[in-house]
Amino acid sequence: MMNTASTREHNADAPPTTGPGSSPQPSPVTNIVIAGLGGQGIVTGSDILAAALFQAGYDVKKSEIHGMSQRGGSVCSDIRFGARVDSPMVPAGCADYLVITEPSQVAPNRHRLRPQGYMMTPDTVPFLFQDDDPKGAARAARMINVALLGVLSAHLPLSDDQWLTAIRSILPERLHEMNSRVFLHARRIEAILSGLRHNPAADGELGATATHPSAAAAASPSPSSQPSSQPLPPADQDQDRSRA
Amino acid sequence: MPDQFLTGNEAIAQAALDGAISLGTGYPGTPSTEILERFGVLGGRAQWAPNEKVALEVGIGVAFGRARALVTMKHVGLNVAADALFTATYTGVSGALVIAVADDPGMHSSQNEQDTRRYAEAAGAPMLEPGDSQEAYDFTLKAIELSERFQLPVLLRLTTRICHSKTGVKTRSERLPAPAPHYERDIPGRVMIPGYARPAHVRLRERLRAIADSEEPRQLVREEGSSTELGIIANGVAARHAREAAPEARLFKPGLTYPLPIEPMREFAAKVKRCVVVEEGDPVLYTALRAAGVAVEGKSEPFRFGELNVDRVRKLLVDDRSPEPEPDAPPKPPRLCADCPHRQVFQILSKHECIVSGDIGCYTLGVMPPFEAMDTCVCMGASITVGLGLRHALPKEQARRVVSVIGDSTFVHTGLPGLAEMAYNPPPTGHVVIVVDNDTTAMTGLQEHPGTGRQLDHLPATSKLNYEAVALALGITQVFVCDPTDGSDDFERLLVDRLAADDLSLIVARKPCPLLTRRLASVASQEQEGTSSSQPSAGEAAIAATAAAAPSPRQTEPQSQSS
Ligand SMILES: Cc1ncc(C[n+]2csc(CCOP(=O)(O)OP(=O)(O)O)c2C)c(N)n1
Repeated sequence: MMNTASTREHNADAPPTTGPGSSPQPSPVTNIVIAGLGGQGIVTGSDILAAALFQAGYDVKKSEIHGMSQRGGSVCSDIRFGARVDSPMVPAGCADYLVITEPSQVAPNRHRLRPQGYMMTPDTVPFLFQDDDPKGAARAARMINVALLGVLSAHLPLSDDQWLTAIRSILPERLHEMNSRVFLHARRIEAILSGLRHNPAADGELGATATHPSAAAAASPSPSSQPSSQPLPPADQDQDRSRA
Repeated sequence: MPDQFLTGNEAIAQAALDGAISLGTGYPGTPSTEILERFGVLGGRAQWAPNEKVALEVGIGVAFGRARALVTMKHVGLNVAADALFTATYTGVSGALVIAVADDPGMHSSQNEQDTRRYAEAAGAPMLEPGDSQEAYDFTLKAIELSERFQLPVLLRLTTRICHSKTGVKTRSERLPAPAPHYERDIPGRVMIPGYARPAHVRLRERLRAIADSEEPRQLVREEGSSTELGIIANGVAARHAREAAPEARLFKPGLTYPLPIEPMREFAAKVKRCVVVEEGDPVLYTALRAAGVAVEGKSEPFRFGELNVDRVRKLLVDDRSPEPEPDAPPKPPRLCADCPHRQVFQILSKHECIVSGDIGCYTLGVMPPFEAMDTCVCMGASITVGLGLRHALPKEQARRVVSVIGDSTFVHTGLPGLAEMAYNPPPTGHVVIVVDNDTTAMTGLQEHPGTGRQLDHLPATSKLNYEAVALALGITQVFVCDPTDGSDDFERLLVDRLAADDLSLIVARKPCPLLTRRLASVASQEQEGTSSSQPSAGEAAIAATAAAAPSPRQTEPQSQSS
């Protein structure tokens, strides 16, 4: 089993070589696509996600097209992580997770999801908009990126602490509190719901029989089971696939 | 420094700082824009030039003075700067001159997908091509070193997926020592009259040969794998796609792509049964290798267009030309913002069925419904001049409907010579030019330019270009300023009146971009937080200046303006 932190270091450090090295084996990579419209914080959301994964010691690549984002057009960001990632773009039909912040953007992006992949849309977080005060609902809608990130986070092997640190490192200070709260709320609810979805008979062992991507990760989204001070090994990414 | 997680653009800015670049200059253009912005934020000396040619020439001067210059632009910017480039390789430099040029395969935000690698060979400028942010960092430092060592300008060729992808980067712990700028007179080396340029051309070829014969081309090669079946030669990000698409293949990625490490490539190709070149854009590597007699396969025509990715590389390798998978619905195209002041202008142009000679910027979106009020758009600055050509050629009834529409940043970039042309060679029906002045370079993300009166960091500049005064000075007497969004029909009446006249008019439709107003407010509040000074912050001053510059329709008096 390979230590991921040192894997990334190795990649970054590797000097250009002239002699043929050993051919790298394909290593499992988790693929995430976040898509929506300009102004919905797609790039910010993917920055938080990528920062959290990077800090946790994964090889991470993130790529997006944002030349037209200010003009309200479609925006989409690819995030890939694992022990080693080559291309920065998620190949067609390979997204394990597709996060969509605006319902109209489902159709243009659905083809990116792999057959057993998992899609999250504003419909995944209806509770977010349950606010009698229209201002409150509008404010919530502006945090749709962070809310859906909270949902996604329930499927990824990082601790509360790691997520909150990433949120603080990307967002300006005045936004920390609100966004952290929305994030954690969505994260907790999704942890419960995904456990029920994948294991209706589950009696407390959330997601024990989950079948969707990173099932192992979904099994333990609660901070108590995750040491937050240590970079985490990439859970189901790395076992018995050592390249050594 | 520990690992950072950076875009290619951020990595280049960090390398510019760590490599003691004395001055960073350029003109905005997606996907290159953030290099200079970040360099400025990091504390480097960064400034926007009016256009890419100006930027490159300033950079040449810096490098003649034995200092280090970084010049940034998008691919089409190098067309504008090409005149300077083609002779800067003859003069050479005594400091460092690094020109970062960002291509946009697939045209995510560009008007063409030209391949900058052609320029390296045409101008004789060494070129480095990074494949991720780490290489963007390393190769920027390498470009500085090569430029100083071989006394040539060096091109750093980027693509959208290098500029805007984030990957881990290890940076130097210490900065390179800064050079001591100093001018040494070298008339035959720097004054390109034919008598000095002839030996300069010979010297250029010698320098390129010296690079080719040095250890550098070989040292910058990345070679992996041990297959004797399939070999892949790939550049930039295409090498990363290829690695993933064909994990079993032997892979060769040159770092220096001009001059190419031909002999190592020949040795590589000899080690495999089948060697395929995987490159985005034009078949540049392929052609060079075939010309050198290396038996490589290229790609079929469909793969010349657009970006490559893992799927397309897989198909390229087996020459599968089947169509790409289509999404269930097309992505949503960009539109003019709901509160964009360009809207009113295009609404009126559309209503009066003008023939609109357009230009490049947010206002190009005036071509979209409901306006559909743009008839031509070729390159920056072409609105005025193409409009003049139409006016010269068309029958009078049509000629009178021709209007040129140009943004404020574009006007300063390459609109000014067109205005001189208009005054010098007026069409019989006259002409009408509208500068849609939103006080910023909005399209590329709100960059400043000489007409905004603010410098790269949005704080006040020492001067502010006055379009009205320039037009008057050039001999255009009908100059007007109005706010097309003020609710009156002043703009419409003015336009109708000017179209009917046979003289030359410049109308400045002036209203700041709402996104800019918000940006400046946030700059102002940051200034306030950051300083305890009792003076109004620079950001506030900038806003005050913007507000003061929103006048009601009026004709500019020649006398009062030209003083
Ligand atoms: C030679 C060249 N350089 C840079 C660009 C990128 N670019 C496109 S439009 C534009 C300027 C837009 O500013 P402005 O004319 O003020 O119009 P606005 O977007 O503010 O409406 C730039 C820099 C380009 N297309 N061509």
